[in-house]
Amino acid sequence: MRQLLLALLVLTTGCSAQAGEDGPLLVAAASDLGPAFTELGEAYERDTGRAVTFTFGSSGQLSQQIANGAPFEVFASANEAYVDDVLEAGQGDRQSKAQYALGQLVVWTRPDAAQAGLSQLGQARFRRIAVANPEHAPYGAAAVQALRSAGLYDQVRDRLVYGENVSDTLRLASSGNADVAIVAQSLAAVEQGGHYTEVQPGLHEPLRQALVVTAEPERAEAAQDFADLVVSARGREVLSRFGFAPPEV
Amino acid sequence: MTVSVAAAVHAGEFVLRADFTLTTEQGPVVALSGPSGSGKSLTLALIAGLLRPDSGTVSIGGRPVADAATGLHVRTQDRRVGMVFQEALLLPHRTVVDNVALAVRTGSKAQRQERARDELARVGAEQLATQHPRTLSGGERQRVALARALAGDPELLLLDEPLSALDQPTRVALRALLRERITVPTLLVTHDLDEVAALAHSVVQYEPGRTLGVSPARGRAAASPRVLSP
Amino acid sequence: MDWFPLLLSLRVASLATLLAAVFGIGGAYLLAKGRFPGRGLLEAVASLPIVLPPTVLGYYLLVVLGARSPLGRAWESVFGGPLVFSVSGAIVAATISALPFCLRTARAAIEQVDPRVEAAARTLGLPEWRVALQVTLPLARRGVIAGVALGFARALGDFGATVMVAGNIPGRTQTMPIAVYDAVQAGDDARAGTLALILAVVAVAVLLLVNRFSRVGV
Repeated sequence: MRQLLLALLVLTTGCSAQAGEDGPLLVAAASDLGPAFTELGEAYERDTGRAVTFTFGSSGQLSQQIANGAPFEVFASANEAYVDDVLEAGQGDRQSKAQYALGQLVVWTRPDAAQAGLSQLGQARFRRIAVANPEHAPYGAAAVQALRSAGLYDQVRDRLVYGENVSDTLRLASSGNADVAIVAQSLAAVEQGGHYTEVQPGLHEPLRQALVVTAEPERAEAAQDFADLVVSARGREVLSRFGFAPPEV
Repeated sequence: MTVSVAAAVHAGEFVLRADFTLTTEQGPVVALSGPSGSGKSLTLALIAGLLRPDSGTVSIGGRPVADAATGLHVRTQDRRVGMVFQEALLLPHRTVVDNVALAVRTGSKAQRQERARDELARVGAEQLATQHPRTLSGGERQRVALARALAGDPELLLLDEPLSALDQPTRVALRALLRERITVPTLLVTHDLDEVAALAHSVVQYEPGRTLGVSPARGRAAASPRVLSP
Repeated sequence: MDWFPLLLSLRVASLATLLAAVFGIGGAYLLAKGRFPGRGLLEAVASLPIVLPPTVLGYYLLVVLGARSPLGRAWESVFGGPLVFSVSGAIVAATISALPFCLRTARAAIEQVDPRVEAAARTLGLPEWRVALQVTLPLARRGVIAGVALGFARALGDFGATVMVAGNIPGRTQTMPIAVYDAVQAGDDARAGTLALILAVVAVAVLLLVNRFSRVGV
């Protein structure tokens, strides 16, 4: 029994000096940014010598966490509204808010299914259509809007299944649990196999992706460096390779 | 030493009214005798403080320890009674000597162990000291339980049918041990008339639900050459 | 292989189990032996974490302990940082999740202890706290250990409450279950599978160890 307690003590006191002044930069980012930000993160680490850690999730959930005091230092949302929510909650530096890209919605189908566009989703072969939860995921909200604009919403409503965020949504379809997914082009482009068709941007409110620095003052500079990298020409080049359009000016 | 009980207690449907006063002049061992279910064990629980009277008072050595009217209730721990039950109720996770040492109230750990070994020797159980209770026979367990009850230097010893779960030869052996070893005032609950005759100086007679009073015991009180006073 | 989530999970689950054991066993003793008003209510409230979905529990904790709540502000003024989205937050979430398992199992075990053995101990002059620690709890030991083991399993496996209260910050609050979720989300099936397997192996190993300890003696 004594050894067990000792082992426990060692465990509980060890590995606690993780956070603090010199810890990695904590970035909360919308799920559609996963592949692109992973690449940008490597560039940031090379440039600054500072490590960066990403938490990807739905923009709505991340903004809620930040409003509740989560220690993220940069928040990159899939839409502008959630950045404003964070600012309204008194977190983040208003000056640092910046649009960095326009998101592109696509319809993704599995490798073993025929490619399909939004207008074909009414077909009976699509028994389950995955979209991100429109309550807190901007790509989900945009997907529902596009379906409405195309006059398909009432027809497919009962076939919709919700992912927690846009990455989870793609997972629903790629694992075969849904027949098709409406997701971000940035994720569909790097998914092994499968096909995707772009959704006409006019069918939904633009996905104006924006970010804000939410770091404590002593770490604001390091956080601003990352934000600057994302909106820089270099950042824009990386984002465009993953299917993002440049922000409206 | 005086023990006086004038109390009633309810246990479910059953009501016990106990009313007696005992002094050591009547001899140190008093038997509570009567048919089973007449309330003898309840009386011991009242005196030990394991039960509260619903009315009336209990006092030990002239000191009130329970009074239903005023709500007085001296905790069992503070009554300085030693008790042995029909089962030994030893702690199964402790050795025999640890079980006895637990009851010793003063001294360092070593002194308490020493005292515990002395008490075990006095009941002829010193060789059991390092064993665990589950390896003991029924008679051995009761010897240990007696040593444990005496190790706390009780003012009053309460024996609740201590021998009735044992076989006849063991019972006879332990009866002799009790007769020899008991020097503190003792209340013995038993329904065995041989036991009353062998051990008791006086008897509180019970009928179901009430006491009938104290009388000298026929055997020992008359025959006893020595009357012990604590 | 990044071992951080495993180490963090073990650390969070161990500390949470320790806290849940102290409060759970203490509470179990009070509930089993005490006669006080509000006892039933207290037990019902303490059992809520079994009944509520972990996310609901997490939501309540976030409301009660969040950076804008009085308790959250009090914590921050004492410890200089918010409780939520920190390791401490994860420990609190896991403790609350584990507590009723310790409490209910220990309570049942304590209630089954022969009251005559406790009475005998009182006649030996043992004060109540010694009766509790040296008689009742050792006799209830099997059940108490089983409850603590259940609590540990629950604390190690918690996802919903932890992710709500502590978030999913790799290298800080990302415990094993959250790392598994994260890997699945990222489409990294290999990593998800490895992590899940490690978690299962560790859980089984710890429970086997506890089982062995609970058989020693008695």
